[in-house]
Amino acid sequence: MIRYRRQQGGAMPAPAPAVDVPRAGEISGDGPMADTRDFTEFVRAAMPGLLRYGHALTGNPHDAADLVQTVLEKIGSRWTTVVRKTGDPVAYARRAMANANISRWRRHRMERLVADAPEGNAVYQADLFESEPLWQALRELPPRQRAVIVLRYYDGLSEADIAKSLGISTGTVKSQASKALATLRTRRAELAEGRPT
Amino acid sequence: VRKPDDDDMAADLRAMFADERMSLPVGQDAVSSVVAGAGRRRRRRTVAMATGGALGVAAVLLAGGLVAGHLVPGNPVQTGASGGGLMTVSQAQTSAQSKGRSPAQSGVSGGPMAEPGVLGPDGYGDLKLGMSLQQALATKLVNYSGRAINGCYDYSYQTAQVVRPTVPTASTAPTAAATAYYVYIGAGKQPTGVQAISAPSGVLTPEGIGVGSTVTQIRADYPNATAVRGGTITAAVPTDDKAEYRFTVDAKGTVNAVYLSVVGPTCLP
Repeated sequence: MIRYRRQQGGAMPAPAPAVDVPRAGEISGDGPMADTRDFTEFVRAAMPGLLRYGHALTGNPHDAADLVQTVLEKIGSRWTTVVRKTGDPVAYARRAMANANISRWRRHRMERLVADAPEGNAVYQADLFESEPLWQALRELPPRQRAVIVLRYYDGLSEADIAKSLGISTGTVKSQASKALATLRTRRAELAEGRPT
Repeated sequence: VRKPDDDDMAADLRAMFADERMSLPVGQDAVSSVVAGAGRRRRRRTVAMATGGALGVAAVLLAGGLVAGHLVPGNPVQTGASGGGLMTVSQAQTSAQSKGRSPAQSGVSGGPMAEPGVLGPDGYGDLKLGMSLQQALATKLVNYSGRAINGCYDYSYQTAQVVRPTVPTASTAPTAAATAYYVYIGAGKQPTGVQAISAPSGVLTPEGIGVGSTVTQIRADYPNATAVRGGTITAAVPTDDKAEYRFTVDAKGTVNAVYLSVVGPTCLP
């Protein structure tokens, strides 16, 4: 049967404001200050890797910084919960980024919003991949196809794991991946030959 | 069968992703900016929850078998009232849902649920999945609604403001804030204990999903969420393989109800 915590006193009404008994795995004395300190450390350590990952997902430094900022803020606002429940905040952040990038594109595609990436968070450089045909071709893919490619060849995930991560069927993963690879092949060749986009 | 081309492409992609140029410099204020942003979000959410109100329509589904008859003497147990394949939602629920997290509800906050907080990962406040009926009643959070369908009894949350009759009849029209009504799809088994807990209005899952959230937000917060089937999308509770969140969504992909449920056949639709 489902695990449950027995209420003390059986049928006695529980006292109203329930003071939570520390759960397993929760370090007692772990106050908000400690949380903030932990989270700051996590951000410091994870930021380079996540920016890199965001770069692959979004196709440009601007959106990468924006995506990392948004996802990390969300995680930080629920830091204790995320740590307790996922055990691996970096992996969690990566999955969240892949999904957030897809949904952000869906939201923005109609509105064609000018990117409002927070300034001053990253020093934007010219994208060093700018002239790579494969990079350009990847950037032109719709975000979900791009996500499938990144999860497959950056993360090295299996089709089943990609399906789970993105909440789609393995059939969709397969079809998106093969569509993406076909487009990449064609576009890379075109771009390499300098044909118009 | 993979074409040799695909392997080349795979190798090129791996090489590109491994390239040094993929890295981006971390800005000077990047870390502090994220930490500050996280704090802002947390505060904003706290405010939203405080004003969103903990009260309103919600239901707890308990499977207690005959025990319910003992504990709620005088309550006729109506079984099979409308068992069947249909999923319907009563007007009471619909009207409450349509309010969503509107500020109109802010006036009724401050009930006995001191912490409007969070639905999940194991329950809502003192109320936990798997609890026996006695334990659930002892929390003083639930009231019997007088209906039993498919092995589950339907309970609604108690609030200080809305004192509901504990023995409504099947014909009693639900009052606006009284109960959420469901028609359960028969599961064939008789579950016991708290099977599902629905989120009172304004209450979110720990990951921040609630009424009014969208399917895309669910996917962002629960990468493992299932496809939408029959108007329901399910996401595993990250740390508990015996529990899951179930979100019912409308045609536009907006969440209109949130449940924390045991995994497997339950009396939930």
